[in-house]
Amino acid sequence: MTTETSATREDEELVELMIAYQAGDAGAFERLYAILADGVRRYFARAQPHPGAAHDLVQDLFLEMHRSRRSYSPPLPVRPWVFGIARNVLARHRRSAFSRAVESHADALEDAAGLVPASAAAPGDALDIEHAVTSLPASTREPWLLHHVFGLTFDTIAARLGITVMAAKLRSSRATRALRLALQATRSPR
Amino acid sequence: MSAPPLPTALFAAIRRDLKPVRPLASPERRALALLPIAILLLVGLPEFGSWRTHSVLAPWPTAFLSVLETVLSLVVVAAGFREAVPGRELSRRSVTLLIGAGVLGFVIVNATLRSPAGISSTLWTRWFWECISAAMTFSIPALVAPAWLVSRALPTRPALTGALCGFGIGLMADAGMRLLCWDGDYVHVLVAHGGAIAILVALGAMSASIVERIKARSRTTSAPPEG
Repeated sequence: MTTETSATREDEELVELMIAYQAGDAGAFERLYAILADGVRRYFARAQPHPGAAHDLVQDLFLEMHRSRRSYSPPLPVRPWVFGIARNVLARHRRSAFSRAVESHADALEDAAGLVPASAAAPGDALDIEHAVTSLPASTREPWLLHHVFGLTFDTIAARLGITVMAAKLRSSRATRALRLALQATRSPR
Repeated sequence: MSAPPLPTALFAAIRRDLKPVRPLASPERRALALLPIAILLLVGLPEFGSWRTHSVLAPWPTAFLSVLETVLSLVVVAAGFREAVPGRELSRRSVTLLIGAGVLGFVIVNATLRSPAGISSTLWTRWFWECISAAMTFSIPALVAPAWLVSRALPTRPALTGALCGFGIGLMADAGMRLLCWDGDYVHVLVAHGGAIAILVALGAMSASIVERIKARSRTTSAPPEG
């Protein structure tokens, strides 16, 4: 009962703070941050296991909240509005992580081919590797390239791609297995 | 758990840009702002079409159902505006009900009006393109208004928001189209008039997604404050 009453009081306070914030009160923003930051940080931490990513997302959220502050209509509850923006920020973060990874493909492929020393691989072999890497499904190619070509740790890869560390490891190991099979297949008839 | 301290750089960035803003009007009120466009599509489209093609408009008493279709279209657009506001997204059930009501409204309204003259099979394709192009000429510029209103909010599902706005504008245009083209061929009505709505749904979804992508890109390029 007491918790319910205090939650209602806090919701009312949030509405008043949002009205003051829309009117240009910087103090209201400070207080909003104090009330909301911990909840949204936990929300992002559940979706993004990397603590640094969650911290950045909290900042992104408050910036987005600032830009979109006119889309809040008082006296509607503030939390659903804030968490709606949080979902939006998270989706955008995932999209940009994905497109960053896609953009790095071309460079990574060049690097992958270039990493094979001339003594160890004939030009034909480098082409085989490049072809085998390109034929991998995108979901497994990303973690493999980021780990084996760029040397990123699985923690970083997981944060960058918005997946768990275990998923990053699994996908990379699947890619290695697929590459081994593909290269064995191309070499056996020679 | 205690709240994390407010990063100084973030607060400075907010403070620099802080000025009073007026909250957006409610989705219903913003949908009502499109009433002039709805009236233009309801009256202007058939009048212009009839002047251009010398065709006879449907009897005016049947315009009552077109008015109902216009009201339905405004409800759909209002739902689209609501979907664009964070935290006020429509549930899957509401979206299904809304689309169902829209489609049903379109079918019922069009089924009640049937001209004694059918379309000859030789003219079928020409008639099809006539109706699609007439609907598009009026609706595509009309789609700009809801797209602009949506871009002021922050849709979590931009494609759905845009699709709803496109559906609403499509119904608005159909309310006028059915007065201009009231041929007795139901297949024509479903394929040409329904097709125009489907194209607008796709255009709405596509344009809203593109606008959101551009907005997102411009926001990521303005780097977040450190610390």
